[in-house]
Amino acid sequence: MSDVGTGLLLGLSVALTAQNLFYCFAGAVFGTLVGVLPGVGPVVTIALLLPVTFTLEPTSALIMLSGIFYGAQYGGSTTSILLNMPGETSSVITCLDGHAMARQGRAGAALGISAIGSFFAGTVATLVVALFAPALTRLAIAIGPADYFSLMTLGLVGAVVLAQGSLLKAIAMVALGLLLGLVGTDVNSSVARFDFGVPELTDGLNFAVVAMGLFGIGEILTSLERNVGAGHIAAYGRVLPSLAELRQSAMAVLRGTGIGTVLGVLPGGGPSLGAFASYTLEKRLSREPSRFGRGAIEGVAAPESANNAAAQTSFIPLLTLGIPSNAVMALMIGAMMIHGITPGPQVITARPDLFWGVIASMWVGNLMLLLLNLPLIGLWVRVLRIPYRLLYPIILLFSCVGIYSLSNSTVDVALAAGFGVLGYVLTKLAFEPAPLLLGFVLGPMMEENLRRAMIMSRGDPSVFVTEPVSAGLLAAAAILLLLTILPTVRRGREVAFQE
Amino acid sequence: MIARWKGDACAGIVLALLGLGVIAMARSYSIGGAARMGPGYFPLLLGGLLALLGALIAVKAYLAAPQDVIPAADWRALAWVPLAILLFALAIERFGLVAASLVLILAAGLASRQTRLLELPILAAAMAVVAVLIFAKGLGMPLRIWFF
Repeated sequence: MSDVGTGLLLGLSVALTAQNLFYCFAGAVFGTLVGVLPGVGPVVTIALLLPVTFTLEPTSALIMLSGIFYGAQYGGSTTSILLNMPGETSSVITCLDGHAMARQGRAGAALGISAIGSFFAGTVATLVVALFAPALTRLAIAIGPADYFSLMTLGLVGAVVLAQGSLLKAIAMVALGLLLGLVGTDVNSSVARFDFGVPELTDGLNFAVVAMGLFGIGEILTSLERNVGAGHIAAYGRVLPSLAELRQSAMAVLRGTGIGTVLGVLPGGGPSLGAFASYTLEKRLSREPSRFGRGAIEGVAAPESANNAAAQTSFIPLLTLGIPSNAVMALMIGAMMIHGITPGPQVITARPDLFWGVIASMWVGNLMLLLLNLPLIGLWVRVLRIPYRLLYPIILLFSCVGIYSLSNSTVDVALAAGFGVLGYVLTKLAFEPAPLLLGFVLGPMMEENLRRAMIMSRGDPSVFVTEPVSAGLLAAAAILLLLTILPTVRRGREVAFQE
Repeated sequence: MIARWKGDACAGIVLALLGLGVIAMARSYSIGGAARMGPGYFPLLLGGLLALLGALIAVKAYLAAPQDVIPAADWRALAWVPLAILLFALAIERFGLVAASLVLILAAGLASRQTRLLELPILAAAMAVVAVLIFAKGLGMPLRIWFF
């Protein structure tokens, strides 16, 4: 307990220096500014702003990145509420009641409760991360390669189950992602794999290129096809929720925080699952469920608190095990590696200042968003009024310069165009790109742990079911998969995604 | 517009062929054994998985035959956006950031039916200036600005 206290103090001393406060602030502002843009979700926002952090030293860079991350999440909610355009799956739920409130001229209250709920959830979840991450780190050092492999399998199964539409398609996307992750030189044998004679490919595909292409450029192509115009935004009214509205949403915020905190830790879980589960719970518990979907403030408070809490606690598997639980975390892992930090259990002992500094800055970032975003809502609304015909060339330009500057490579820019077309085609054919990105990041790690596990067992694959931790994780993955295939649950899942 | 089931079947077939291609390539690397995996071992497993899944997707599409259709593609966007990016890639090192930004915005602008032809050059010029100010001056990225 006391080492958590000293850790948090160390973290605050790092996060509260003038320099790091500035980067946290800048990250939150830019993250929101870019995240607000329609069609630009957190993944693209982080990939777009990544080059900005290149010149910083690792701790400041990570602090700025988490500022960008929270800003992007918050910006996404703003777009959902005002325009009914969710930037990613975790904001889909917010659209339901958030946009209904906006149509009634209560957008200000919806944005206000979203900021307040997110701040409360962020504070609780930061404490949870601080309490549990160090303990989990000790656990993480004790588990072997077979356990790691099974844990990643569970994470991928989680991502597959959460994906919309066909299960087969989602698994195929995971397999494709894992394969794309193997492009480049194999570390054990120095053989260049799947490089097609292109020298730039021997270092592997850059995760930011894949993410930006699939999500950023792919989304632009999809939006152009839908012929998206400028957003129509009604008056947003008072920004602060009334006392009655606050009382109405207090319990929703508490429950959303609890659900989000727990679900965020699960591999494959993360913000969307938390948002969805908490919304369903509020609707069940409500005395008048018919109000939901027609501007019930609890319907905004609960999922917004849950997705922020989950966004926070999904850092736990990343910081302790080095395993990303969703596409956004997959991007964060890549960002850390660019700064020379390999996420995993060694970070807390090797770089305690960085570990605790990032945790403390999570809270500082949330506080800044609360103080900053409510007064700036007028600015975000103005950004949203920019017509799409002007917006998408600007997004494309920033993406291209950003991708080029990753390693001064024009091949990367061309590859991003290719992944953009791929992302468009996948969306068109109802294949989800998110499991692909997660598989892409996990590919090399899975191969390495599979290899080590099999060397240690002398080629006996039964090690995955005889090691207790590994067996438990695989059983969990199998149960999850079976539950999804069972007809009753499948029907429930379809209904859930339609809601 | 094509039927959803045809799209799914094609996607499945493409994935299955891709899986077979991966298997062929993996076999050209050394496979090794379970206890000593060569660089071809894991790709071989994944290639097999992909081929199997692709085949299943194609068969399922044929059997289930979903009735809906996939809306027609917007070829205009699909042609101009990638072309604009490729032109940017060609221009950035040889002609510098200003020229690359101009050509990217002008070509990308043609992708939308809503673009106004008088507005586009102004946007391109303005964004070329902004790009230089932000990336080259503000962030100090080592980018060539002009073509000389």
